[in-house]
Amino acid sequence: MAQIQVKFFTQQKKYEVSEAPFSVLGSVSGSDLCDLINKLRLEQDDESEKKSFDFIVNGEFLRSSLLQHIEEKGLSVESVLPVEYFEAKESPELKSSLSENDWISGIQLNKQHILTGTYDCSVNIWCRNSETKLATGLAHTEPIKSIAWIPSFGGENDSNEKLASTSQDQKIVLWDFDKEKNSLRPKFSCKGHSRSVESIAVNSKHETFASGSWDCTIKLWSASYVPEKGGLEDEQISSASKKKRAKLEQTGISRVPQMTVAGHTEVVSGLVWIDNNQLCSGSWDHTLRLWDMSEGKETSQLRGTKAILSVDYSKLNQTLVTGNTDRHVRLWDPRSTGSVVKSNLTSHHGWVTCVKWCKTNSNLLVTGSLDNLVKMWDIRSTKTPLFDLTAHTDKVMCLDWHKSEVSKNKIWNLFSINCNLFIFK
Amino acid sequence: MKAKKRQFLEENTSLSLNQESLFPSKGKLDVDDEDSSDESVVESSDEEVLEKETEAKSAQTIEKPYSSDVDDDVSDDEDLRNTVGNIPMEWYENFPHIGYDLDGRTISKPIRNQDELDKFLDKMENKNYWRTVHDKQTGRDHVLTSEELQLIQRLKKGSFYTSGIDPHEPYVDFFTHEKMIHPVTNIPEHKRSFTPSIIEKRKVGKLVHAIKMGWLKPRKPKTDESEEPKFYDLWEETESKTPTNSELARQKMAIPAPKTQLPGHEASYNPPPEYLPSQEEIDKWKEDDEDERKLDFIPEKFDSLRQVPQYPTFIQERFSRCLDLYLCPRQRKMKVMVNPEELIPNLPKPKDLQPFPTFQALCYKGHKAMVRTISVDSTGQWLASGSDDGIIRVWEVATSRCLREITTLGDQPVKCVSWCPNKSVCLLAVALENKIVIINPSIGDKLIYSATDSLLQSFQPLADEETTNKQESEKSNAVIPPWKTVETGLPYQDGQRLVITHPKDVSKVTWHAKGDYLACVVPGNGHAQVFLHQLTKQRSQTPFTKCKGAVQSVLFHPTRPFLFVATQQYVRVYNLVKQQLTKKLMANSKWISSLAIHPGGDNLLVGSYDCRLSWFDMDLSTKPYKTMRYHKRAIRSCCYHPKYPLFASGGDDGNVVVSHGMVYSDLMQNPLIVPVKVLKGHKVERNLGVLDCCFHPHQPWIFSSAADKTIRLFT
Repeated sequence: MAQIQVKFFTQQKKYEVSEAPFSVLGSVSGSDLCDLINKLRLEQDDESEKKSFDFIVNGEFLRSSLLQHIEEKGLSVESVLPVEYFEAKESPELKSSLSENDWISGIQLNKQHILTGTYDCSVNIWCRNSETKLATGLAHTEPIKSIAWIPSFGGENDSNEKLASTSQDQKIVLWDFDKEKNSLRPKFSCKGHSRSVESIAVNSKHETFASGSWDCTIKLWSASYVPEKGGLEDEQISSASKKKRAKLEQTGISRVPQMTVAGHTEVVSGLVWIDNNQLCSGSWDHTLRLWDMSEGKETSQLRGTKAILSVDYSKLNQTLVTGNTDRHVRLWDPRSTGSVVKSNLTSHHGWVTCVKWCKTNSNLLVTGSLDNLVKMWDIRSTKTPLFDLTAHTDKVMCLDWHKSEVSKNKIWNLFSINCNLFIFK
Repeated sequence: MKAKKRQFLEENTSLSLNQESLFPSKGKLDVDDEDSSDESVVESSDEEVLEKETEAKSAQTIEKPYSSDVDDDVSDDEDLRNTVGNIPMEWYENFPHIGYDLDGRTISKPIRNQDELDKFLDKMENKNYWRTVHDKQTGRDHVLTSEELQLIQRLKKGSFYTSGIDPHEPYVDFFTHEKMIHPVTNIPEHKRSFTPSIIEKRKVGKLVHAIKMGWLKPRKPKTDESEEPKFYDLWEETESKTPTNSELARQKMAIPAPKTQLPGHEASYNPPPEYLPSQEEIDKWKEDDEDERKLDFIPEKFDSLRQVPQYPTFIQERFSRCLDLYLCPRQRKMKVMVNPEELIPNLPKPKDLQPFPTFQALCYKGHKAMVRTISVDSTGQWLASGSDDGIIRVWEVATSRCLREITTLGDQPVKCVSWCPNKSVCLLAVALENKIVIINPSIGDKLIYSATDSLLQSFQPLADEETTNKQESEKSNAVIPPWKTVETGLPYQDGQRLVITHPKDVSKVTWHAKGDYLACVVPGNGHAQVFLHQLTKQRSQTPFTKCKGAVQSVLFHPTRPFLFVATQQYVRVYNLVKQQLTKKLMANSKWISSLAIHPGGDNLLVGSYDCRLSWFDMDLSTKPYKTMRYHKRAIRSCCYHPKYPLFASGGDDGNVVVSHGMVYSDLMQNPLIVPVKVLKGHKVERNLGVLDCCFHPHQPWIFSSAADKTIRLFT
């Protein structure tokens, strides 16, 4: 069996060991190397705890034996092989579950609240700490399809939170959530789509948001909560009678889109802003399109082979991720064109309905699928995910997660048919 | 001597008649004999003398006739020749004479008065008594001369009449066996001998003429060969004949007998020590079966060849070798040089024909009985399904969420649901019992479904149309189904808008591609099994006054005014404008279950309960272009994909078979049909599997509904 010279290094200073090269057998796996590191650490410091480590060789996780990995990558066996290691992440545990009345179609977190949209046409806000339902908003007449917070610049100090929800009743409703009163009121009702509105994405400057619909168009709306001066909205308020005003309170002031862009031939199922102007949309017509929303033009197109169900973009590594109807999670470079897929993450057995990047780590992402599984991936390991979260007993339709700066990962995600929201810690 | 004489005499007497016959007319003997006998008696008395005398006189015998003639002339007066001829002399017994002489004078009977005593004395005394013969014709005694006696003796011996002939004289042949150089006669051949005989010519001519005229028939050639046994010369011309092809082939294919293995070192009488087995090996050899042994003997070592014993099984081995050689038939194994893979038609790999549905993505659960029928909305967002529990559900395709649940009165099974293909209206046609219910599920675009309602409400039946309807119904003698508008109440809230009532249960509803007309099948309604309804005018008609067979399914052509009507065994294509039958397709199956038409309109898919799925190219023939049998049990439904080159069939075995069916715009090229995937997942319940299947209008996805109460989406 071949002997391989390896050199260990880490970016986590507390687990550092000597940089002297070691000669190990080619057949060693990750767990063997883990024992080695632990022994080395014991030699340096008698009080060090045993930890489990993950190893990265040539930018990929070591999942098979070292020799196999080297052969796959086509590395030289002769030279000293640098091996990076870091503490392995602990598998998240189920912390609690929240129950909704109907299927949850959208979920989004902010620092204090959990926002959910359900198939019983309601928008719900939960408190993250107490895990109680704070408010329910009923303005839609058909199931909610997606929801989004509209962060304000005031941050947490602001007494009101803003949010938007899209529904099959072709409307997008902008809500106002009063934190003190725990009341949720519709402010604006955005009308313009002719079919069910499937996706929503709020601009990074929080001024506008885009929505994608079954009518194959993307519309750009203003996210401002101040009625447009001298426009239709102002007119609605000023001209309204008492009765009408009361009705407006219930449904919100009507708003028309700022811009409509068409190009997709099927439902626009995923939307994400890349920067303040550039919008990426994924559709069932197998394409990812990049739009310059200041001009309303399509800038480039990425062509896939399967319908796209969800899109997310990481600003840290400038990569797009899509969940597809063929069990694969695909990574795309938005700067490329054509049909070049950066890599495929393959482990799911059903449609990948939702994908979400980590906002702080450029390598982590979480996917949810119709096979009842939520998987967390490190993009350096394409064949096997880091963890499988198996709490769900039915289809996963949407998820959101937030990695706190402290130490542990918190994954929030949602589960559909039993109407449960599972919280992992 | 006397005894001898006596004997001779007796013999002579016995010969007397013969003598008479021998010498019938030789009376001359008598006189001559008298004289000569006297002399001879004197001269010799014993036989030897007599013989000498005969020999001496033999020379004169030839000339005797002459001398006798002379004698005759001399003793004329004494010639007593009787002229009566050779008659029985008894006839003259009563006469005094015994005949007539040459001159016609009677010959008187001689007086014979000798008594017995005289006869005895005469016998005793007369020396010539033994040679005396009584001549009956003359009545006198005749003493035979010695010549006559010799003659009698010769005759008795069987010798020649005359004594001078030597029968044994040397034979001189006239022609000799030796080849002579000279001819027998040297006379030159006559000229005549060279000319053909005229007589012969005439004779031949006559024969020829007779044959020509048919009087004479030539002898039949011998044809009856079977009577004779046939014999063949086995070895005749075998070598000279050129061998036939089969013989040449046999010679070419001759297989030499397998050679016996040559002996190796181990067979030597003094093998190298490494070939000698150890005791263990010998024991093992003895334990082993004969077939398993490597060697059939144990190598042994001998000091000299002289000590080698006789090989004990030599004859046995030779014998078995001979048996091997002639009893074991040797045959050349025909190696099939064709690669079996080459025989498979060169179809593209399913991998290259993507996209097509491969795995189950979603399962739509909610129905409480088997789901008989499904239909996808033209936008691809909604899926309608009808079940045996009487509930029509509308599902969201992407999430398998049931969004509408339309209950019908009576919980009758829903036979067929069908979305209106017109994108500007939102309508669902449902076949329920004997009714077709037009439902507005109020789903999708608000504008469209409210516009649909107002469109239906704005309809005002024209008075004259009603009358024409009535007239038509009277004419066609069939019941025109009445239309009823649902305007209020629970059914309206459920979405029911129009109800068309038929005389019998409706089994199938299909829309025309433009969404105005819909056709339905009412089996068991006599001749009016097919109804056509027009939505905008709310009018119905029965296009056929006569319907042969039980109609199974109907279908509109997507672009042209054709209507396909499937009976149990045939699919008839009617031109609705010209109102005539244009084609009759023979499905080659016993019971058609379903029909599907290619979006191009030239190809038709026919599924049948006897597991066959037939692809018709209607430009090609009225018989199936291809018949596929991928299902183990009855096919319930089949469908084409509106955009991708795909078609599928669902059957009672619970499988959906997806095939690639590429139709080329080039008319010369036949459609390419490749089965690509068998989709499993549905359970078979009560012998029913997949009941309906249909493709998503835009994506390569297929929906299937089954008796296990679920609808599944395969992507």
